[in-house]
Amino acid sequence: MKKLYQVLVVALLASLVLAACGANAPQADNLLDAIKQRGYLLVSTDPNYEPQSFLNTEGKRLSDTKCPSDALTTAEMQGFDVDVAKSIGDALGVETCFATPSWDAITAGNWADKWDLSVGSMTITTARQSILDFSIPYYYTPAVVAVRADSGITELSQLEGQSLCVGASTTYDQWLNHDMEGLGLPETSIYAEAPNVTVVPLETDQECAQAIAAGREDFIGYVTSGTVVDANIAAGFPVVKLGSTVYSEDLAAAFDKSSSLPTDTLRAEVDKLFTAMHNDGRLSELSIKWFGSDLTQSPK
Amino acid sequence: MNPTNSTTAHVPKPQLSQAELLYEAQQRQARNFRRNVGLSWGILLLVLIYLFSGQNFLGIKTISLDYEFIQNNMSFIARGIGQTFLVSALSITLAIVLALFAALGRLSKIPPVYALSTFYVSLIRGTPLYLQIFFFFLALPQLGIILTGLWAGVLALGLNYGAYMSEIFRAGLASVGKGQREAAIAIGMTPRQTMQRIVLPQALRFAIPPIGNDFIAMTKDSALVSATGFVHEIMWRATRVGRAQFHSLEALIMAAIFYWLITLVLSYIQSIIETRLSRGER
Amino acid sequence: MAPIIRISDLDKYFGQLHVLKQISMDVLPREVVCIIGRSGSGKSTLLRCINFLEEPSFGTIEVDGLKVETGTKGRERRQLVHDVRLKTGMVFQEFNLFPHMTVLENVIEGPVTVKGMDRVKAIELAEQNLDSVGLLFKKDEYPNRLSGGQKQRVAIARALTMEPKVMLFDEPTSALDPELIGEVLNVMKKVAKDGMTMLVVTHEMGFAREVADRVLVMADGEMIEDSKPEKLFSNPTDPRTKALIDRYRTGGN
Repeated sequence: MKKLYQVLVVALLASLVLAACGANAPQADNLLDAIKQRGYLLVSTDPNYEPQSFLNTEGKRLSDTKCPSDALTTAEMQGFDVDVAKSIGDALGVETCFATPSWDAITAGNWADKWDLSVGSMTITTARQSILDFSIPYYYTPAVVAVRADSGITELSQLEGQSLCVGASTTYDQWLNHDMEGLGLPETSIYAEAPNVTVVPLETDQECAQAIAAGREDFIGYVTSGTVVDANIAAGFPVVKLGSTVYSEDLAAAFDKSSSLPTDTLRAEVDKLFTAMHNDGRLSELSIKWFGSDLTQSPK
Repeated sequence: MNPTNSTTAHVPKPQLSQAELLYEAQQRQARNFRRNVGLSWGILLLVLIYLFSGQNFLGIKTISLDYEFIQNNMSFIARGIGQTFLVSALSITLAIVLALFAALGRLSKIPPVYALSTFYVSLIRGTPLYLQIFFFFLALPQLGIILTGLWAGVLALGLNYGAYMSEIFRAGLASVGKGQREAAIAIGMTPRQTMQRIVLPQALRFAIPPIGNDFIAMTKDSALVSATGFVHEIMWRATRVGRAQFHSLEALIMAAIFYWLITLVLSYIQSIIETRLSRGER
Repeated sequence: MAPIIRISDLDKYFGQLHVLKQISMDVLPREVVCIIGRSGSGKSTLLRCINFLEEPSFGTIEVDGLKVETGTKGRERRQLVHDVRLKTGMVFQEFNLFPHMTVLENVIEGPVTVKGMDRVKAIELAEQNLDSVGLLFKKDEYPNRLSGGQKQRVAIARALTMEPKVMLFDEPTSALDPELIGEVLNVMKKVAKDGMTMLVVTHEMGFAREVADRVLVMADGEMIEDSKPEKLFSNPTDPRTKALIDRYRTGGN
């Protein structure tokens, strides 16, 4: 009985390791070549955000797809980030596939080669630069504070001592907590200092907006990207934008510093592509398509 | 016998014995009970539906939902049912194997085996499942073991449920009387044969109803696997669609209904299996 | 004639309790030996030492040429004990049928699993034995549908199907309702008549008197009498034996 026990335990562990190994078996010596070899680009994006990245619920999975079974094909996703990611795949001549890890898994780095890069409207911060490499920015968003329409608050100073909501692990979280170092944005990008408030982090900023819409009174407003607030207001949420931009963010594609294959060649390609798309107006076009305005011009 | 006075053919009631009258009364009671329970269920369901109707009748506030959103996204969320079942089925299989080993390990006289089983059970029961799922997804890669979201979830769920189920198997093994083991030995069976032919079959049969319950519970816990982001089951679909379109409440209610339906179906199947098992043989 | 069972200087302790004190006895082939005694006298323990359901503390057990001594250890001992068990069949007070198997499956389990007998052949043999105990018509029933007496008869058939040299009976009728005892005793008489060596621990004095070739009396872990039934019942040597017989006589037999 003891022997049977041992054999089964070994078999169990072995099958687990084999299952894992099957997922990642690189043969090329850098990530770009590996991508070209396997014929698809695996981009991480968390489809929580309209219009940046969200699900196309009507979409049917492409039948001739090379994408791994737990990744989504381009037919099943839509949004600004999705279109940008597709452009990268097209430029490299491969299919674009979307992995859907949670946002804190993406920002934490150490992706264990589970996907190639992140195109998810990620802000470049010094904290993140220690574990991720960034491309050149592909667009810029203003960070704003949104408050309940009936709160009567019109200025940042009026928020002192109140509670504000943010999505966890976002730059808005860091700004609100006065973590300027971690935020790591150039001084010129920061237009206002955060008031002294109680910070309520929820899983995403959508939870903040929906809590207010549902009539909850845990906080008087939330901090997020201007585009998100615009979408909230358009959807009929009872909020207004407070004053103007508090800081501006550079949003870029991100690469894992701890990737087992070197990412420099891939990064070079992506930078080349973004530069070209800035110059020939493709990025502006996409921005207007999804946001209604051109957010791709650097405010600097 | 009373003489009948009327001219119409009045059929006299048959004389029933005491026993038959009693039986009839009991049947009537049972029927009434069932009917009243059905009525109550119906009323409760109606109340629940009214609660979500968005009306404001008699000043009683109700929850208003965007029904267009629900209609548009119901099939998308429903397509997650397959993954939910896949995760649950794989996990329960792993859990059963582990539970059996843990239970046998508890009976072992070999110190490392006994220690391993008790340590495993204690560690797993002492930490939250949510945490365990993240652990297998995020920490294992540092040891060089990279699991997909699905397998990390299956591993976590399997280990977790295995620890709790080991108690069931322990009870099952204990339920097999000592006398049977002696009869097996007296025929000349080795300990392994005794375990395989006599003890395990009975212990497993004993464990089937509790395992059925655990499987049903597991279909709900499989929602936690959505936290890794890679398994597109019911919960993941509901949260993504809900957030992106600002209708998390509607999306989560839909998910809840699907989980409830799954539970109803599985419970029904389980009751059939249990009836079948208890009929005839032991 | 060489004894088929020889027990030499058997001692058994349960912790501090000295349950069997230097027991020595022989059983000849085809003999029917009944062991009687008060509860706690050690008679069941003695029987269970023969097929090593209880481990002797000291002493030698010899069954059909297989000798297991105090000093025999390890793999040799395990092999010998296994072989002894193949030569002995045991019938328990609580029947101990396997509840998850039908009657037929119960009876063929031993030959098929332990002796590797071909299943068809085993079924043939099993059905023969079930027929001789009068229960062939119940072969596809589960044990929980049988009466106590029927269960015990199946248990006897199960033991017989292993083709043992010796049958051990541990108070086979003590758990039965009075009206069911007779059918089991009849089967046992038949087994004896067919020439099987039997060792029966029992309270059934009638059976002992009628069928036994020898009766052994146990008291306080010792064998106080070993004689033919006629002698024992009419003229017992030891006063404890007399007390035992009288008790059962007045107890209504």
